[in-house]
Amino acid sequence: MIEILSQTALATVQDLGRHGALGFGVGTSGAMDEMALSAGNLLLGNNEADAAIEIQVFPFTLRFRQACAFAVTGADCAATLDERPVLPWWSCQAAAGQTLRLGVPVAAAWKASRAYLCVAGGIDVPAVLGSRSTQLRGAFGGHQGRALQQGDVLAVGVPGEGLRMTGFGLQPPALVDRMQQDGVPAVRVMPAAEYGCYTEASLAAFWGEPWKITPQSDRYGYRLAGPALSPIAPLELRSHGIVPGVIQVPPGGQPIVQMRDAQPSGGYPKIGTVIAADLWRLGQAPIGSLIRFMRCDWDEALAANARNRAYLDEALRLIGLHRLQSGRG
Amino acid sequence: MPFLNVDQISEWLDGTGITLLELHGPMGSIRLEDRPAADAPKAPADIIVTSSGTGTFRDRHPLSAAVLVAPGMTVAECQIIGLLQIGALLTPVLAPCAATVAGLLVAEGEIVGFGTKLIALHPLTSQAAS
Repeated sequence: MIEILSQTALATVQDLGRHGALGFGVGTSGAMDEMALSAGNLLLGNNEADAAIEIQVFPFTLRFRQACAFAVTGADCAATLDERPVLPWWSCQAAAGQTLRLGVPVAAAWKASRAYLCVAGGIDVPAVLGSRSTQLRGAFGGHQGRALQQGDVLAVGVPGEGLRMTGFGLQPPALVDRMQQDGVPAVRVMPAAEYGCYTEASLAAFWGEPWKITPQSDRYGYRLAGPALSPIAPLELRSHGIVPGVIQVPPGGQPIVQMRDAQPSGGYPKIGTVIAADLWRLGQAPIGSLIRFMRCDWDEALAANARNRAYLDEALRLIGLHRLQSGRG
Repeated sequence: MPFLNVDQISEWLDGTGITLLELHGPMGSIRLEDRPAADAPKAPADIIVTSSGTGTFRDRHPLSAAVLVAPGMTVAECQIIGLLQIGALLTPVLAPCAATVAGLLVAEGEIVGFGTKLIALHPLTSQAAS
């Protein structure tokens, strides 16, 4: 069991998402940075898709009521376990009664905004429609369908076979595969259905200018600020299905990128889509920071997916070797 | 049976940072160790922490700008004083006892092998120095 000690906001239980329910009008949810969630689970011998706590408001403190192996991935939050520093992206063992504190993210090598507390065995909440993610709009899934509050007590699942060893870490994928353009973090985007309906100047600005992530950005969507994007002629669309990553342009010309808690339908024109393989990068981009869009095609998007997969597969392989080697020693 | 090319291998090893080579095969085993010369300066109070495997030495976490330890710093037993990186995997270099850091013997980013001397420590108690 773990107990949330701090007054907290917007921390939720998330896994890799509730896929296959868009047809019922149920959005995807899931970790904004699924690479961090997966890597944290691999460090603990968990299933890659086990549930963790996504934290986006700091400081955040919790107490382990039982001995528990854990890893904090995502943003480097200068975590401490009973005042002793804990490395980011590192598997650690906590004794019963110890307190874990996550501070404000340190943006030294990677500007990231969300941390994931993964525990051996995963956060044990009931799966709803195949996922433990919190569906905030529908108020179900996760812990009682809501964000965590001070005093909440969460159950921890049974640790997997590979666990009994901690004390090693992973280099975050953001440092392995840096994605930047002109010194600004970038994500790859494919043109979407209404791409051709925008003026040439708008399209040039879309690719060429950095976009600022405004404070009206959250798990539902990121509202960006930059040059106004104008359609050649006014566009009116019926509502249609949308997915996380879709970049809509409302009448004001300031784009919105749909994120993990996006509603499953919308009626604004779509200028592009952030590829699924890069959504985690955007999911970590802090409010107030700049982001650029890099054009890519279908094949490049698939290759990017394969690269993410390769990072996790290689991590799993190396962790397996390390466990084997240390087990012998 | 005699081992072939031992002299040649020794010569090659001399040109590297490798201080210990062990080969095990169906016909037998060979162990080549780089013993410091007898007249090498001795610092009996020091503990030299060596690498437990092959990898890239990191004096800091890749996400962090701050080094894990610096000369003069006091470290606790089992504190992480360096990292060894193999691909994306990071494994710890641990202090064997409470100590002050005498110095780092390899640079950040240097490729090290099994047994490479990484960090020199002055143990805090004489007991730990033995």
